Amino acid sequence: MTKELTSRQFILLSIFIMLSTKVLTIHPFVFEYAGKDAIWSITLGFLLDMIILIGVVILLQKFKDISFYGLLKKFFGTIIAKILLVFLFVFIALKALFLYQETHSFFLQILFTEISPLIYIIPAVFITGYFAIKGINTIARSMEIFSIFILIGIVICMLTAINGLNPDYILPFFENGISPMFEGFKAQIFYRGNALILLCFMGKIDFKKNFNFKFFFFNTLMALIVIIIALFFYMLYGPSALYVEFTLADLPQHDPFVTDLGRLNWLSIVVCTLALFLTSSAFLYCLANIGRWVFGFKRALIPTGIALVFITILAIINDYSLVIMQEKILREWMYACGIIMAIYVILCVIFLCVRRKKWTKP
Amino acid sequence: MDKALKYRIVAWVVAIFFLILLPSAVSVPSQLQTTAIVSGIGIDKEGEEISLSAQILIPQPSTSYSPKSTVISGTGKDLMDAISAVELKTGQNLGLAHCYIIVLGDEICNDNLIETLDFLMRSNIMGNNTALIHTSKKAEDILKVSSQFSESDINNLQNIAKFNKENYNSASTSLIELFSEYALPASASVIGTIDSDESSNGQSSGGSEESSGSGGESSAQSGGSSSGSSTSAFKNEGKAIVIKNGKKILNLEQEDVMKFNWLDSETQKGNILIENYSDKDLQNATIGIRQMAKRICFNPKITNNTPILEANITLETRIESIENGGKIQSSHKNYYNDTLVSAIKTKVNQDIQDALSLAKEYNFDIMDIYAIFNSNKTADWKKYLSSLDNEDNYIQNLEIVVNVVVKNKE
Amino acid sequence: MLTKSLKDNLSKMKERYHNSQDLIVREFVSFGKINSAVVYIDGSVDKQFLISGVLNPLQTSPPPKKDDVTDYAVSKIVAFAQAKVESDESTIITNLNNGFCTIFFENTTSVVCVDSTKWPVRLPSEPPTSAVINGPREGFVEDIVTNVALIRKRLKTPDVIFDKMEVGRYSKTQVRVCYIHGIVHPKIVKKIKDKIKNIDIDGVVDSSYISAFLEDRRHSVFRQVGTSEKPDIIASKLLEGRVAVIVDGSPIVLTLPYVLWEDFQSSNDYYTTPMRATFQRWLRAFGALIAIILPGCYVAVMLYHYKIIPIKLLISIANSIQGIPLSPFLEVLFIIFLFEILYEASLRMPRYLGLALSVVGALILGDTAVKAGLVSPPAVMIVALTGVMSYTVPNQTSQISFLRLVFTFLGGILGFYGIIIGGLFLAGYLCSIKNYGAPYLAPLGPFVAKDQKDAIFKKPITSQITRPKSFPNVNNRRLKK
Repeated sequence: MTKELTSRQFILLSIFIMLSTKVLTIHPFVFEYAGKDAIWSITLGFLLDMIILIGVVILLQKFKDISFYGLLKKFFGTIIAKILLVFLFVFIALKALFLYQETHSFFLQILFTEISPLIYIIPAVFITGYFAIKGINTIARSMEIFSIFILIGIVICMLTAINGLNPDYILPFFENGISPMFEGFKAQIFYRGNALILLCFMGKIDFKKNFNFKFFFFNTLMALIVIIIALFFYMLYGPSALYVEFTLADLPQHDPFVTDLGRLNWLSIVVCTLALFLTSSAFLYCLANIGRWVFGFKRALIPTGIALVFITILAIINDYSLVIMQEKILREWMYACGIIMAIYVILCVIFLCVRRKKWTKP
Repeated sequence: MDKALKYRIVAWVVAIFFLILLPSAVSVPSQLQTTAIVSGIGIDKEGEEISLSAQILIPQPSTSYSPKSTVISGTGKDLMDAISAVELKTGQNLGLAHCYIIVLGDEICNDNLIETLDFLMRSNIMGNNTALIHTSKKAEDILKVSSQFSESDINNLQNIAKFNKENYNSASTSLIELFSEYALPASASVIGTIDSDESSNGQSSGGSEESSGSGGESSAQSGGSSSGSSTSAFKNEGKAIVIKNGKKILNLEQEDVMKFNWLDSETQKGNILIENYSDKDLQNATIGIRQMAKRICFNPKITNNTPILEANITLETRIESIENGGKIQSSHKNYYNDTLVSAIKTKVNQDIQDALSLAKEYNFDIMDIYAIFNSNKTADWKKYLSSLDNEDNYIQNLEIVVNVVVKNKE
Repeated sequence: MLTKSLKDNLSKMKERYHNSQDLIVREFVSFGKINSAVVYIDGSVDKQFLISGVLNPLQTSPPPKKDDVTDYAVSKIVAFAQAKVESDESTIITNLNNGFCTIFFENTTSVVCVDSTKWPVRLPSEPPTSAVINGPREGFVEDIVTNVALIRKRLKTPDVIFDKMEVGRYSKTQVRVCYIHGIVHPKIVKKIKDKIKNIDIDGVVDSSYISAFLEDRRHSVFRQVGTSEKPDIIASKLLEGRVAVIVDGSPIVLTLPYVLWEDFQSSNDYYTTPMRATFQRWLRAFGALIAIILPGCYVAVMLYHYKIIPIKLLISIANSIQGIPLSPFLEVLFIIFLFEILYEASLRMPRYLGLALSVVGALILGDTAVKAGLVSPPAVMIVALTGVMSYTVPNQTSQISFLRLVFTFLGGILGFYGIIIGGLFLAGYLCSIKNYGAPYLAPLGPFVAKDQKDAIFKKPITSQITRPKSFPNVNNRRLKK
């Protein structure tokens, strides 16, 4: 199997995929359910993410010479393997759709007073499709180039918020017991479990020395940064978090001295859009890969096209509105995602328990 | 598919997409030509309707930076309706992105501000950190005065708002703060008051300052000419109003605001005036002391079902003036002594107790008492609240113990 | 085939050259009794050497004792000249074309070819495109022999190999593929040589012709072959494991594999302090980025996102665009085209006129356009600024100009959204190019940590222990400590 990804590229990819849905809409959304304890719900969510991530990465290293489809096929036979992959396809498609929706809504609110869905979706489909066809190597390299700018952007957005932090907005912890925290945790299930998508890269990673340390160090560091963003957000806006829609874009908007310099939310626009589109491309690549496995396509173009059409149709059904999506669809999809997540977590556990040699024989 | 053909197809698709969108890009005028840049808005109540006044900047075709502005008003059933009315008048969209101030007329403050301003918070057309200012007259009048000042003049509304933020922070509330504080159990905010004074005859040209007493007045003339007939002025006397549950409940004088400022950790600077001060060097003197910096640390405790807030305040101060019955005092001598320090401590303590009495009288909490106790003594505080007939009266039993450390920063 | 008749042979040569006047045929008597003739192309030989080193010895030497005149003649010709006996007509013509003089003898079917080449050449001077403050000022010239010598002068090792090739059916242009044995990856050399071998073109007049054949993506906006006019740069690239292609008649030497970041490195970087060099590289990268996106950002902001401008700047801009009849998009396009036309005209104009034109263009046209209310000062300033910034990376100027136009379109059509989409596409496109085993954006994408010592940062030469890992080479160690 060709090793398309270096260790560094895989680490970046995992960070992008894990954090893609965690910097914009999740915080106000969780606040609705968890109130003051939203920060704990977010932290709990990250804990779940990290557990899944650890399991997935151990699995990827255990079966480093076989593709995920190959593994499923050997274990369950072709038909069940394909059915399981269809589940994963739906899971990733919903996540990808969510990213498109989030970006669209973000543009609508922050950049344009109005942007036609068609004008938004055509370039978005074009760019993500282009990346997906070019392959994971191109996506990972682009991530390498942009990651430093994205990190700097995130840190600047965070720093602009330091002045107005009010700890009283989140204190005392668990004032109403721990049930709000679990309510918030339950509500954000849809945002979680992205690490399962990494299974699609099984057999494509060139694991180097010290990989494990670097992998968990950087993933934990980034998770901490995102938790700090959440902390800053809740300490900045407190009960008004409900009025705010996009965490990273609104962090620099609180301090009048910062806004005097100019609206720094443009920085978050660049940061978030770059990150979201690159991650969408990775999702699309995975969808195309699953399409290849399930239907046996040889070239990337057709499954990528099918995946894009699928996502576009879902987007049209949703009327391109994140609000509608949150109200109507998200809650329903949340359960679908939760079920698929559970299936795959069980699957991971099974694979972790089996003997490696038996299942990786050519 | 042939590679060249593939490239050609992609190139054609991209070119067609561009060509379809190109006419719109060519014909779209600059947003600055279709949008009226609003630097401040005023909200008044007119009968049952809401009146919105917008201070709109008028670009000048010159290279110098001296924008003029005009005030245009419109009324409607709610804020959105009023904005539409102004847009109809101007023939442009109202661009509120750069609006730095919202002036609230006195009457509108008697209604629920949260309901009135909800549109601004929700619609994202305006920065949520826009400063709020109250005026005892019509908001439109304040904006009209403001429109006579240019950005480069010394005292314009923006500068005053900034000054208030730094020096009277407890009375400087932004849109988002109003909503946050409304959602907290205390539900109280303070909004600074600025008035306009049409009657004052400006003796100096536009932008000069004339101060009297504790407050500052600044005057401006349209176009900056020297004739003093139609001069308007701002009256920033450090006054404020207290908003509770979205409505105004009290007008605060400047000295009251200063008293509440002692417990505000963000207000660093201020003046302390010690009157009738006597020690070995001075007799019945008045000493002006500049507060250079302030650190404040709260230690809340609940003893015998009585909440006691221990406020440890460290002040860095400097003597600025000594009035000693016309006698000239040596500037080389250090007048800091135990007596003076004790006088400062007494003054601070007295101010805080006065502020507390006022808060108890009108039953409002702008000192974040609820949050301090709830964060630090959660269980005791809950117990205390449950022991009250009405939880909203939690401030009535509060005691504040003030410990002041005064440092000389000569 | 040559005959034994001198007359026939000479008339055959004249016929072959269609009686061209620059083919000089001079008959004389050699060794006191043999009728002979010297044939050469006028202007390509050193006449003084021809007389003293060739004709004089042949005329004054005693007749040969044996019958083989040509071998005897070769032995009599001055020792340091390269002389050989040839009998194949096409080889003789090739030699003539390459500046050899050819001596025909009566009753002989072979000739003596003597290397007496002296083409008109320019002396090595400082190349105008890569002037340096510190460091060597020597530049390549149009003569391949001189260019080879300039490289040899810097790399005095038998491991430096110059493989000779010939391209062009008519031009018969000499091409030398140069590399250091033991450093370069053989696959790269093979691929380059194969590509050059397969070129079937009528003539090659400059290295850019060869460059077009060496590129994998021939329709790309981005060049995929490195170029330099300086022997010190070529020497250092050879030492890194690259291959140089020298083309006769061109002072531009090609290098492969090429990565984009090379253009952000300047020879000056290696002759100044590392910190300064690092700072300059960042400036170049920043300059290039701004040059590409600034007009697009301006148009996007003016059309869709005025909200992000601080109020004071907004007022200044609002003041200055009062009464401008064009939309910001057209305004910027107009100035960009004006700028490009001025640039093109100033290049073509005689030097003294070109200077005057650029001054007139920049100062008077710009100023009067603003005063006439056709364009606004911010738009003029932005386009002029990006024009200047595009020259921070001289080798990428044309690409930057093109991308600037594309991003202006994207900004006008889709605002910031378009610019971000454009930026992503550009990054994706560049990341997908692989050039002779080197990822085009290496060492940034993929990020090669060990190569950062001479990429984003410029570390002292003492810390550059290994050769670049961004492209293949066989001997990685560079510095022994």
